[in-house]
Amino acid sequence: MASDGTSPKVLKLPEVLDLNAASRLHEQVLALKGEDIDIDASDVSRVGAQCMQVLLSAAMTWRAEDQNFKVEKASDAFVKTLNLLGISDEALLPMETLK
Amino acid sequence: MKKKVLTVDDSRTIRNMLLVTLNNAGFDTIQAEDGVEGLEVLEECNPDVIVTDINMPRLDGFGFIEGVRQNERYRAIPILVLTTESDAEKKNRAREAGATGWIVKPFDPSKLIAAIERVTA
Amino acid sequence: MDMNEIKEIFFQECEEQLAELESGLLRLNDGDTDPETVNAVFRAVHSIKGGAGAFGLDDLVSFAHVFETTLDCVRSNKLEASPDLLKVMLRSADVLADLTAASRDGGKVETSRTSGLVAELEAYAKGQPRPAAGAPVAANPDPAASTPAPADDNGFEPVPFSFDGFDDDEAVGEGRSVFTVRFKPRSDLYAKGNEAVLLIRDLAKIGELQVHCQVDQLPSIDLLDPEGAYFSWLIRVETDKDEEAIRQAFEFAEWDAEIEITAGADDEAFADPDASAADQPMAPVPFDLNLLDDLPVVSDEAAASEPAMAEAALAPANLPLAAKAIAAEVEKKEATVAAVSAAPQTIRVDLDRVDRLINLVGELVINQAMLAQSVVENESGSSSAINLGLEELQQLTREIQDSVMAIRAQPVKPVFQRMGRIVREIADMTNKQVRLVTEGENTEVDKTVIDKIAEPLTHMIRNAVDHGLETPEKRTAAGKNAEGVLRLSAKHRSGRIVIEIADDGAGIDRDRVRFKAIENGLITPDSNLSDEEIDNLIFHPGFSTADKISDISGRGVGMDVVKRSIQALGGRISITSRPGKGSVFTMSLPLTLAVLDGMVVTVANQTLVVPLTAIVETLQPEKKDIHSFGPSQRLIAIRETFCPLVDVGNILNFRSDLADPVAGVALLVESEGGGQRALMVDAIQGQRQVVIKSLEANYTNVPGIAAATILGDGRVALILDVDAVVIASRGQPLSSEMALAATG
Repeated sequence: MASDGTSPKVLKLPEVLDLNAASRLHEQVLALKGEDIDIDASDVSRVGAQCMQVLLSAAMTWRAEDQNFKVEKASDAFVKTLNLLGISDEALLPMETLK
Repeated sequence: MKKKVLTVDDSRTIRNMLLVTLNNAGFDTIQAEDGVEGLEVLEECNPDVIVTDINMPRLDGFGFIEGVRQNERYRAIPILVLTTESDAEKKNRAREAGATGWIVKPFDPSKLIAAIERVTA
Repeated sequence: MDMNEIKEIFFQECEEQLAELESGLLRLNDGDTDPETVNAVFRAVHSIKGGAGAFGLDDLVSFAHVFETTLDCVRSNKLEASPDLLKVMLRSADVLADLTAASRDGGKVETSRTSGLVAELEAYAKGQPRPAAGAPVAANPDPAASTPAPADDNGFEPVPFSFDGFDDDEAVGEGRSVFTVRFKPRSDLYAKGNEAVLLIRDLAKIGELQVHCQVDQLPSIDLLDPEGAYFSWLIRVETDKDEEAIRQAFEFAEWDAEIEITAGADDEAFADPDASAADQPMAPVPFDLNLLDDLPVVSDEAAASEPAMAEAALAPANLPLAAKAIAAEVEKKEATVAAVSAAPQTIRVDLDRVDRLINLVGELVINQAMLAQSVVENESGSSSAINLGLEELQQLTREIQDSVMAIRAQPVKPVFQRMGRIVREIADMTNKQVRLVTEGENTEVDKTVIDKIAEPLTHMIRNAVDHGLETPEKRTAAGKNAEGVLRLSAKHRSGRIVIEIADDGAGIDRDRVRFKAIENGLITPDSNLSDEEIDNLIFHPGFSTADKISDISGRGVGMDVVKRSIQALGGRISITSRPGKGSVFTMSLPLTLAVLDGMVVTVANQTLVVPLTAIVETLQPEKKDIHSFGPSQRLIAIRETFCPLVDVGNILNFRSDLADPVAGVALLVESEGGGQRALMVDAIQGQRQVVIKSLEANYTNVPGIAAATILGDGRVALILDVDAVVIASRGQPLSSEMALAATG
């Protein structure tokens, strides 16, 4: 599926993804549109529903455009929040948790 | 890491109660005496949660909450309103101003701590 | 810090709030229409209620609650602050003060006092000026019961505060049950600092959850408002708690979210995990971007409730405009904030610390004086550099002293405010109509002085209402306004504070005073006294013009005691009166009790300090002016009058024989009843300001001696208690009891 063979862009998420972080995250993701993205969520200690909305919307948009968007690395807090919110999109769950 | 709580209340009695309760529960407590001081202190302490009274001189709780919510840096901070006024109209005004939740005075420590736990990560 | 300390703080705060309450009500009474005044009054009662509730002081809470409710009506303009209502409120403030005091000291306020006011306040709150006849209160005089029960219409529940462990005694249902929760937040929920993650986490504390996130409202990334609310949740809760517990978890969210709680599992959503998976993005559902263009981004309902957000989401180009508008708003807010933050900054300091500082400065003053003296004695004073340095030191010391004294200086306002209540009470008891007017409330004086003037002032105010003012009938008959005016004022005058109590009553009935004084043997029937002297007879010990000692101004205390206690503070009191027009009591007091301007004198080789305020003049007696009568009585002729001569050394038992007046100096002092005495001392050393050291604190009470001080040469000098000495000269021995009264 991966389009042109170039290595994916890595987007490192900040520690706190609260209300204030949602707009910035949105901009960052939008700026990478058209490219494959690897998300590094290993530093995330707190993430709110709104940032999850941004990430899930991006995952779905990328998928619809036939490009790669996946969370490569994620902290426990990130995974825990996904579970708590009942989100099980494979794009947001890092590889090791899917195994 | 200790959670930081900013309390805003003009009553010395309540301030002391909050201080004792919060310190006992392992919070880092910063206190202001009214809305104006609350906004000033906010700049220095960047708290995890704010507990504020409504009836205060200079700048009341409504104005204080609006001030916090309009501040780009601090608008995401949960704000609990600590007040004896639990009638619908005032609660609504506090919510319209941007309050996250409320605790009805006179509070008991468990309620206060539970409310703080509820709104902080 | 424990509960008792916080309680102590609470009662201190109550005092301040009560003062604030009363002054606010009085301002309203004077026609103040500033909403902030009403707010301040409301806050005061509100604050007392809040603290009282935390300590489980139910009587106080109940009464404050009723009071607060009525005040709230005034605050929200539902009720006019009429003079009648304000009268009720002022009385309520008094009762609130009593309830506070009773809570603190363990007393009890009679329910008859509260119940009537509760009924009146409630009647006002309900929009009736007066309680209906036979109001429920009459049948039920218990204030706690007649006030709305706990958990009243305002939902106010007085739950006592305790630091005991947090007990978690939520209602526990039998067995486990299943609920289905549908939770759909609006963006406001997030904007107010709530967080779906935390809410669900909270819910997880109640029971086991199965959470389904519904993402069908989520737009593509281009159309997404990062601060919008698109997720909603379907949650299955298996719990041993009831529905209320679940609702509780969403307590803060219900305003900004759709929350639906149904008992039982939602079979469609949960029974078949595969069916619910249709909602899940896990299934490879094609995500058609074109479809999104035609469909509304948010649901109709949400769009209708949040047009602004939907618009912002659809047209990001509008965002900068919105941001600008918000920024302008913030600026406006900040401007108003800056405007109000100009209030004076204060800190609270333990009085002990201030006193310690004052003591140290006292030592510094003494030390500086000693240093100056030793420089003079060593004749090194010829060096102009040393002289200059000394002078500067002296000036600095004086400045430090003044500044330190200023720390303890406080306005007389709190004491004046207390008088308002005293006036109301006596007016009620005597059926008189009185208006108290205060002036110069912000005049400052040392805290120790303030603490000590309350009692004499109270007594004088009582006296003025009880004896000074006439009944409304008498006043009307005399062509006066039925309402008497009592004017209480304070001002600074030449380094002292002058407090005046002026009434527009009948004035002193001089014939009666004279008659009374003759009857009591204070004066002889043929005494020729000036009006002033007659007026001042009322300060004579044991003098009372009231035929019976009334409950009000009587209490076994006469004006002589008032005068004595004022003099003990280094003050003076006098009266001027005009028949039919009223009387004015004037007292002047030192601004501080820590220092005193004194005349340093020598008596029988001892150094004494005589308070300068007591001395009218000094004179050198001549042989021809001295007249003896009786075994040891001597008089001195001063101009046209004779004045008893008092040998201080003899009175204080410094020497047994009488000094030769011609060899010494006479200090003419004013004493009780306005009469004068000449105090004989051996020599005058000079005048200086001295730092007062309490003898009682350091040694023991000594009759005839008010206190002690340390002079520049390091010697201890005693400060003379002039009144005690004068009294002793009348043949009454110096007793410690008398000296106590004098310093008391």
